[in-house]
Formats: sequence, C-alpha cells, structure tokens
Amino acid sequence: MYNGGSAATAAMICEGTDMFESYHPFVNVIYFTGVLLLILLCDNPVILVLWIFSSILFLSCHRKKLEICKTVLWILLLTCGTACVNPMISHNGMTILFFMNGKAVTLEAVIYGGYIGLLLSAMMLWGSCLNQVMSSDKFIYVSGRAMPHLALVISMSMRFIPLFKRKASEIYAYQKINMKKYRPSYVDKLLLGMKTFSIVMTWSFENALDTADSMKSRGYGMRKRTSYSVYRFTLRDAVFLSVFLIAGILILVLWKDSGMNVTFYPVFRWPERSIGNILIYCLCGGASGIPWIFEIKEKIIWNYYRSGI
Amino acid sequence: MRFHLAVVYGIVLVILLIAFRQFFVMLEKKKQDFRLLVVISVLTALSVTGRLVFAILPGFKPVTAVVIISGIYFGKEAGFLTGSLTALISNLYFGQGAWTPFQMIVWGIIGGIAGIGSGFLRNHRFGLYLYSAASGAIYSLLMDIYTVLWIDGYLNGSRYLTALLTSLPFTVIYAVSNVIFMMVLRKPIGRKLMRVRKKFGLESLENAAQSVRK
Repeated sequence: MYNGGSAATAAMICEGTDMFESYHPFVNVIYFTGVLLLILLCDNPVILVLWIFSSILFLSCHRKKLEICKTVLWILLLTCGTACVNPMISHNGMTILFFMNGKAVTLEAVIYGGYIGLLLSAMMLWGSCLNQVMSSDKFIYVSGRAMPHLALVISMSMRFIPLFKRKASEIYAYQKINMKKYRPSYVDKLLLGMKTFSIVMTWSFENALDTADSMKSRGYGMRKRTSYSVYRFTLRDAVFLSVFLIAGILILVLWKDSGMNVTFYPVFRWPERSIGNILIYCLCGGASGIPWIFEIKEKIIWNYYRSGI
Repeated sequence: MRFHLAVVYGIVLVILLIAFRQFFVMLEKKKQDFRLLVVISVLTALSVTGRLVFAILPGFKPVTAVVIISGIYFGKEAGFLTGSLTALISNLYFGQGAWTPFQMIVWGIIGGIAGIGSGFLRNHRFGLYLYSAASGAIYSLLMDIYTVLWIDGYLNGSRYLTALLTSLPFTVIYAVSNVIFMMVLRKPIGRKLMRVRKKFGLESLENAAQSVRK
C-alpha cells in the first residue's frame, strides 16, 4: 500500500480522464464520509443492498475476479452467521419460529441479524473502496491542509518504516557474519533479532535527530511552511461536490418523514411504496454508483479509441 | 436511524482534533523543540513496523508496549500522539475503516494514561506490567463499546456483555503479549530513550511548558 511516489504519477496520468480517483482529494474524502454517514443513518435493506452492489462493481474494476468471488462468498457467510447468532441474544419479536432451551427464536431477530451482517459488510466494502481511491499521498495532502505539523509527522513516519526495514536487514546480515557460526540455532537467531532491533533503534534515533537539527538549521519552523502538491481544485471538482452534497441533503430531508425506516421489532414491516420513496431509492442508487459509473465510462471510451486504431 | 452512533462519532472526532491541536499549540510555544516531533515519528514508525512484522499472529503485537513506553518517557501528549498516529498509519497497510477513529482514540488514551502516571510507572516494574496487562483490557472494553454502538445504534447492556465474552480470548492475548513485550522492551528502549533525552537535551512536554511559564 505504500504508494507515495506512484500516486503522484498516477494523478498526472489520469489528469485528463474522468475517473473518480482523479478528482481532488477533498472531493474524495467528502464523498466517502458522506457515503459512510448515509449507510449508518439510513435503515433500509434495499438501500443497503444498493450500496453493497455499487461497491462490489467498483472493486471489480480494480481487483481480480477470484478475489471478488471470495468477497461475495464472505459477505454471504457473514450475513448467515449474524442471522444465526442474533436470535440467541435477542428474543424480541412476535413471530415465533421455535423454542430453544425454553427461549423463543423469532423471525424478526433472524431478519435483524441478517441485516446487521449486510451493514457490516457494506462498511467493510466501502472501507476497501476508500483504500483503493485514497493513496497515502492524498492522505498526507488532506491532513497537511488541516494541520501542517501533523502531516509532517505522518509523512516522516511513513518514510521511516521502509527505511528501518532496509537498515534492519543490512545490520542483521553484518551481525550474522560477525557471529562466526555456520548454522545458528533458534536461540541464536532470536538473540540476533533482539540485538538487531536494539542497534536499529539507536541508529534511527541518531539519524532522525540529526535530520531534525539539519532541518532546524535550515530554518524549519521560522514561518509558515508551503508545500508542493499535484492536486488542483477545478470547476469539475466543484460541480461534482455540489451535486453530491445537494443529493445527500435531499436524501436526508426526504428521508425524515417518508416512513422509509424499516421497523424490525415487534413485527418486521416493509416501508410503503410511494413516489417520494422511489425518488430516494433512485438518489441513493445514483450517489452510490458514482465511482463505478465513472470507471466504466472511462473503460468504454478507452475501448472505443482502441478499436479505432 | 443510528443517532447515538453519529453523536459518539462526532464526540470522538472532536476529541481527537482538540488533542492534536493542543499538542501542536504547545509545540509552537516552545519554539526550538520540534525535535520532539521527530522522536514521535520515530516511535510511531517503530510501533507500526512492529505491527507489520507481527501481522501473522492475531492480537500478538508490540504496539501497546511501545505506545506506553513513549508515554512514560516523553509525556502524556507524546504518548497520545504516538498511539493515535500508530493506529492511523498502520491502518493504511491493514485497511482503513469506520473503526480507525475509535482505534486512534483508544491507543491514544492508553499512551496518555501512561504519560500521566509516568513517575510511578518508571520506578515500579510490576506496576508497569500490571498497567500493560490492564491496557489490553482497556483496549477490548473500549473497542467493544464501538462494536455494540455499531450494531445496535445505542448502548445495549446484554449485547455489550456478549461482545466482551466473545472477545475474551483476544483480550487475554492482548494482555499477555503486552506484558511479554514490555518485559523484553522495557529496559533496552527505556535506556535508549533516557540517553536520547540527555544527549539531545529533550524534555517531555510538561517540563517544557513549565520552563516556558517560568
């Protein structure tokens, strides 16, 4: 996942395109926050399935088919698991299926369990979509705008991680030769590992504090820092952002007195169908579909150009 | 609608923001000591690397030990920052999700408490081991609040108990691994951090703030 450098080039490559990844990091962050909020706030299985469906479509543009199949299987397993476990914990509900150990197992509890399984998998799926879109580079950019010091700490530690790993393997190799044993035992290896860790730690503190002194002597902290970034907030981003925000607010406002919330207890009740509710379904479908619609549009254009050659 | 969850999320995010802000404001006051920033990033990198190296063993991680040690030697703010940044950065490798802010605040709290009790924990070996074991329990207790809020949308006592029971094996692993790592790491890291503090003239932030007030 460490893709600080490649993200910048990727951003430059997809400059002219319309992929969701090529949008400004702020747009990406706001979109994903909004999506997570909507998933949490809207209690409706149909909408939940819509969210899950869109995230799987988006992921299938980026991952292998086998991986997607595994994910779907995993969602089904999770849903079945929570559907089985919930009736053991909760005994609310009117429709009794059977009695187990003298306690009622109700249909409503099973349905609610399955719903929670779907909710969990929706969250996880959108989390991996977020990982796909938000590279570490974008991450540092967003946090740097809010708190420059924080971004400095994050980017320094992200740089230290591969550095420490490399240094550790170097030191380990030297120390192994120094040990003058042809075949070190497990205890030897363990002691060697500890010694390596200790040396790496000393070295890293010395190195880092030297860096700090060098930064100080070059005037770090004298005045506000500026930094270069490849991201520009363009008209496209503004249009996207305003459309998404309006759609999100519209969903919440319409939701408020639409009776869209499914009630699970005491009796599972489906929300009634009306024009307003269909509008909400469409809005949610549209909002959730943005990433994969962009992705597929770009694929179609690409194939069209290629067929022209 | 899960209003409770939304409210708790809001509170968690605001606390994180205030804590970060507070730390950096303190840092600004004591101008020349942004070297502490570098020390924190080294400690964060070490604990993230630890989490990555031990990724195959579920629950058995040196992260909490490193966070506690950094809290003890560089003050409560540094402990909080190391803990929360470790959660943030290591989740870039392990996968971000709705749990990230909660994890950030829980590890932050563990580091912060270690910083508050640093005088005691530095001198009492067994107190330190006890706190490391307890912090495994703290982690489970607080993260299960998140799980329950997440599932039900409000805090449900019976479900909280079930969540605690199902996560009990993990809690035990956390506690045991924290104590083991603390036993191994306490002396070498402690000695090195003391040396670094002496050699580069670093103080923990509290002392720094006090010297500013003087």
